[in-house]
Amino acid sequence: MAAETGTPTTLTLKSNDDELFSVAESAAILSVTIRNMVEDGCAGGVIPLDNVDGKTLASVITYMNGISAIPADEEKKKSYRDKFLSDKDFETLADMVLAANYLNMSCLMDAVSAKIAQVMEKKSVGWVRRKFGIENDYTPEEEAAVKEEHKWTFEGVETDDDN
Amino acid sequence: MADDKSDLPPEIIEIILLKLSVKSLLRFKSVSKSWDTMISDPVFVENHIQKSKESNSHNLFLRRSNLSTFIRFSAVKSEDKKFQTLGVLTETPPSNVGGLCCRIHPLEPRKSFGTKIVVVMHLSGFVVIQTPAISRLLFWIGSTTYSVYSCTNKSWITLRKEHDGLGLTITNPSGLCVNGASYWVMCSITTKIMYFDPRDDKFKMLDKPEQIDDRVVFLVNLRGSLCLYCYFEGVEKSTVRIWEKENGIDNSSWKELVTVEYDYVSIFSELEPLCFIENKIVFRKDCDRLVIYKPCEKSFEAFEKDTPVREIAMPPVKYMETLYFPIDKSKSKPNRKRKCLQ
Repeated sequence: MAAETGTPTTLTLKSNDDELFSVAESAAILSVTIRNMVEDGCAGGVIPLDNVDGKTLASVITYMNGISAIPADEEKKKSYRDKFLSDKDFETLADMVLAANYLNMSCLMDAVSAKIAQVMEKKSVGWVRRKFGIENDYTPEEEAAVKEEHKWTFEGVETDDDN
Repeated sequence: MADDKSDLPPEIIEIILLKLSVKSLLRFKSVSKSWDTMISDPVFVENHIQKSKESNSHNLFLRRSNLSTFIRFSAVKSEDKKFQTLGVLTETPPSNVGGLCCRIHPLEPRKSFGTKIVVVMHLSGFVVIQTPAISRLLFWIGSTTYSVYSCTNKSWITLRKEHDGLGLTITNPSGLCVNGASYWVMCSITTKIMYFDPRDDKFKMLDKPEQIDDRVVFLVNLRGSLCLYCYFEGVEKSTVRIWEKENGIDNSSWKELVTVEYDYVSIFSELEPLCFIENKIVFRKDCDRLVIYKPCEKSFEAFEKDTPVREIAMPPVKYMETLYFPIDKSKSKPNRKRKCLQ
């Protein structure tokens, strides 16, 4: 819209804990949710993002700025994503995958879900239950039977007290 | 977000699980009953195969070699330009070669699959292993009839072929299975492609790319798509041109994938495309060695010398680890108890 003037348009995003963030429109429209708002002309004032907290939004904006600064080079973008996600713990990744889903950012969604899967590869069943907050609804006999059936898949897995 | 745990909705959990390896997925069936149900769901299994195809990270061949009197089926992974055998999947007893039924790696009979895969070996017939989602095995009987085994109904149905009067010879009797449909090349004076559409159990004909006259064509499954290739011989250099069919069983539009030039030494000079490894194509050259072709640089790279290509009695088949046929890597040691049959 403001492309002709040469001045980059800035949007203001508001997290659900009332933090405000400024971000260039060109970077923010990586989110299809935000792009639709901009195209519908609803982005005049502050854009409230009710499902994202400030900490996560700050992270997402860092990603938006970082990735949009890279020219169309898929390999460089991939290595930026890898580096960006390399130091994130599981809880942060889980918040980010929810935010990416809400903001409809397919590239971030893909990268974060792949990263979570990568973290899970060597993890025990107990770890997964705790981190995903899943209740074990097997009886001890049923659980033992399922584990016995796929016994080999437990080889080389990180040890876990609950496992 | 409470304490240590996250509350991811099931649809996001599913997106994450689709990116896991077969080994982890089978392990995480123990997480809870709902995870077990999700991972066992046939739609999930199919989606996982699609994801694995896209990721291109698994490059396994199902090798068939004539060691001893057994026909051995095993999976081989190509990594760092070397083949690494993942273990014997199954062997057929010698008496079964070309005659009887044998079972290959039975699927778990409980749960939603509710089916076993049967491989029928027959002297004049052939067999196609379909995915259980399609749940049919196609088995050639005479020149005018064919039989289809339904894994769901556990019964055979015999049907009459409609395209039998063409007087054509099938050049690839075992057929090529891509996304549930099976394809054959038929040729005599003209070359045609016939396919079996599992949705209505009918044989149909598929159009070829326009650029090909009545040249002999070959089929291959590359990256999960049906590809067609043919040779254009030159004096010193020959070329092999590969076309890729667009997705959808009924879609007969082809786009040219790659044209590869190679030295023409004798009439035995051949370059046979086998599969993709990342963005490179593996070819079998002159029937006895494998080469990797890099399309962007238009150059060849040899596999390492110790690659036991000569053990490959028949062309290797692209194989991908799926939830249908998990490979138990702990059983890759030799002398393990052989799983074979009837």
